[in-house]
Amino acid sequence: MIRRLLPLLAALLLAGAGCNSSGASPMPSSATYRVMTTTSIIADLARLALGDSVQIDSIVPAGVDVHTYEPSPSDAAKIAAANLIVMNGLGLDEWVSSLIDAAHKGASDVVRLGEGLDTSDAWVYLTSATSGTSHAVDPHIWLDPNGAALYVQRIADRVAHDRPELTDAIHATSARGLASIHALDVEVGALFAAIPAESRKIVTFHDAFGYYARAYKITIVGVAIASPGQDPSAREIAALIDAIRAAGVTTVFSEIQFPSKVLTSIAAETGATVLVDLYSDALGAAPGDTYLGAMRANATAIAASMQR
Amino acid sequence: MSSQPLAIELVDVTAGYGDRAAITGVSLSLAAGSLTAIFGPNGGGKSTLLKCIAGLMQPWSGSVQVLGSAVGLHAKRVAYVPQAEQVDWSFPVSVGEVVMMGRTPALGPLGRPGAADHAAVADALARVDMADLAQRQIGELSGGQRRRVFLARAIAADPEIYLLDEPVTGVDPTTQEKIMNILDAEAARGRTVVATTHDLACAAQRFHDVVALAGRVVAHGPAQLVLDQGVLEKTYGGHLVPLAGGGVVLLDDPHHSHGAHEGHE
Amino acid sequence: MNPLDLLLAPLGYDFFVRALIASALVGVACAIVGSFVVLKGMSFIGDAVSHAAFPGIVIAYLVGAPIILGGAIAAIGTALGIGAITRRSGLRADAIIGVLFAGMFALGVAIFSSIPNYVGDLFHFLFGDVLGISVGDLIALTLLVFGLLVVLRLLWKELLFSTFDPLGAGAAGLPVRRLDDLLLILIAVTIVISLQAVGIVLVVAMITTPAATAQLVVKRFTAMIQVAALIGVSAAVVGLYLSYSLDIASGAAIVILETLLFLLVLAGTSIRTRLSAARGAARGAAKS
Repeated sequence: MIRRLLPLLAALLLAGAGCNSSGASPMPSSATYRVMTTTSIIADLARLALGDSVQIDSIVPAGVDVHTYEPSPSDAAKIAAANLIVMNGLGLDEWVSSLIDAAHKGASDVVRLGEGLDTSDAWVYLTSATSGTSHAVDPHIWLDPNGAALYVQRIADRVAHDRPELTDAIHATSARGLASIHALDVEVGALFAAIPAESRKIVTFHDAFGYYARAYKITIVGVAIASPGQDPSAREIAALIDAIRAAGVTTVFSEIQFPSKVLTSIAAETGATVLVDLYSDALGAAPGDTYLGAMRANATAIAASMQR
Repeated sequence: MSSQPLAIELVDVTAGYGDRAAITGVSLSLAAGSLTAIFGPNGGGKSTLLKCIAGLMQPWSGSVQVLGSAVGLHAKRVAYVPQAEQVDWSFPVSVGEVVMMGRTPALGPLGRPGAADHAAVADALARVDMADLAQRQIGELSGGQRRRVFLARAIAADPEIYLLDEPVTGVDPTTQEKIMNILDAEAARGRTVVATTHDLACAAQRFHDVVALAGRVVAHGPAQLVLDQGVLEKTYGGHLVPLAGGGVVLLDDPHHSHGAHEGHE
Repeated sequence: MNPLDLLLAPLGYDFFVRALIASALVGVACAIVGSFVVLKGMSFIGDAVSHAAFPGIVIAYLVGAPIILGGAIAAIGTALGIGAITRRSGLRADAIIGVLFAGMFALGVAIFSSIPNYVGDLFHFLFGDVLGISVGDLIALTLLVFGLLVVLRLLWKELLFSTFDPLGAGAAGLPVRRLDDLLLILIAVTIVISLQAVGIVLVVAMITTPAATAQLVVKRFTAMIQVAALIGVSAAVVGLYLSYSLDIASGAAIVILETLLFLLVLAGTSIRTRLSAARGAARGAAKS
């Protein structure tokens, strides 16, 4: 019985060795260029930049938190099969570095979208508003459409550099993408401009909306947790409740990837009404399954709460 | 034997622990008002027999009838006094609280102690000469006092049957005297008293009847049987050592391998 | 800041008041069942049941059922299973139980780690999340404590007798096995409902420590339960305030206080024993 199975087993093993989980060899031929991003939002920005001329995928699935994500062995295989790894950097997704090292890829295979943006004065960084966080610079650049636009440009430039034959197609696609992002920016800006300044206050779950608030002149009254995965202490909760009451904020926002009892009890105590899910680090179900859709949904929900 | 109704009746009872039988084919009839001592070597099944009568052990075969019904049906009318070693003396209860436990069957599931119960407890404590120790924690008692507390608990239950496992083993003569007086009085009132013992002298002098048990019933009859050499030989076998001038000495340490055979598990 | 402010300021927040009440109720409930656990030498059961509840909680979360229900089923099932194993295997039960509950906990961790998202609510069952206690949780806790006290009042003499002398109680006609199972169920339910406040890792301490301390100082079971409950409540209240001022986890603060108190009392009683022994020896020497 075993003797008959052995050749079968050997065949299976060889077949398995020949393909990895993504179904292609590590050194791609003239076949599709593979881009692997860390988050689902970055993946969608990559789609805005590159269209369907390349293959794009993200490690962290939609609806899953990137800060506390723990990569699995199949993620390592995905990294190994990618031509280009696109990450945010600035401490948001450092866990991908070990996967990159394990796949024997180097800095030249990686684009760190969030880093080095201030060299040409195109961007001014903010520090994280809450102290004691693991990264000093706020990494949530994409939530400001202008930052997202910089991301799109970077991705387009890099892939065009790697695949010169795709330059024209990428140029056309990214131009359209940048135009939509610009249109979004104008739309959201108008939405918030119509709201008086003293009503433009929000409380969010974690400290993701610094650049967003800067872009649209919104005041962030407080955040529920300093860093995802860490619970707020009793005094931090008390301080947040005081701040919410003082500012008269009516809505406390959770985010789709973080379920939370603490936020529920804070909302109950301050009389803040509805908990609405904002998109920050991840996409979700429609209409939040694209960057543009998620940003529009955010703006609508936030503006509505401000006007209550 | 007496013409009183049968209080306890065993028919061909075999019981044991694990796969080892402690008693085999035991048939026994004890009348109401009898005062019986069960004696025999360690491992002979004395505690096992008592537990079968008390309903604490299921016999492998045979039947046990107590007060005319299957064992357990009249559990409230039976009081069981365990061996001293099997009690947790560091448990935070007082003498009075232990004796009150004896009233539990009388009180029923939701009953709370009333005047009658407190009177019964006080009565029982008085009979064992421990009325002034009611508030003492049981760990602070001497060996003899501990034995008397559990007897008081049995008395407070006002049972028809007393089952006592080694009630006078290892106690001073005064306490032994007091305990036997009480058991005597109870039997005289028509109660059935069954006790296991290692103390052959006490069995011969203070009990009415004896049962010689060595895995099987060797003999059952008036207390003088204890002194019968033939019965002793059949019961104790190799534990008997003949003396030079005639007569025998019985070597049977009550604490020998205790817990390994009887009363454990 | 004057001391009264320190005491009153946190009370201005509903969440803190709820956390305070919840911790106090958990302290009382755990101390009461803990008295039975300590006297029966069953402390390992607290550890086993709390760990075994974890897979029940995780699976309930996955299928969308109430988490407490899943935990309760796992906990009660484990407790009754331990009772059955102990009756059958005696001293060897220790190893069997250790293997089983470690395996169940590992199952819970495996399932938990397979959930792609960070599920804070499940993680909180490991260490407690008393700051997130809702009004609903508080009601459940109150009902639990009330239920415990009712059962205790109704069945006090039966529980006392069968805990102290199972043989004598069984012979007197008490349903000792059913009473044992009832106690196991009460322990399991107390553990599950306390998990929200103190978590799986520490709940066994909340059960064992106050009762163990009380056992050192009193001579009556009724007094032991009362003293244990008092310790449970006090440590809970002080511990919560400490966690507020020092920004540390409340469950840990409570357990640390209870442990320190136990060590103090232990030292005190052993000093007292040594002093009275020395005095006794001195008297004996003086007489001779």
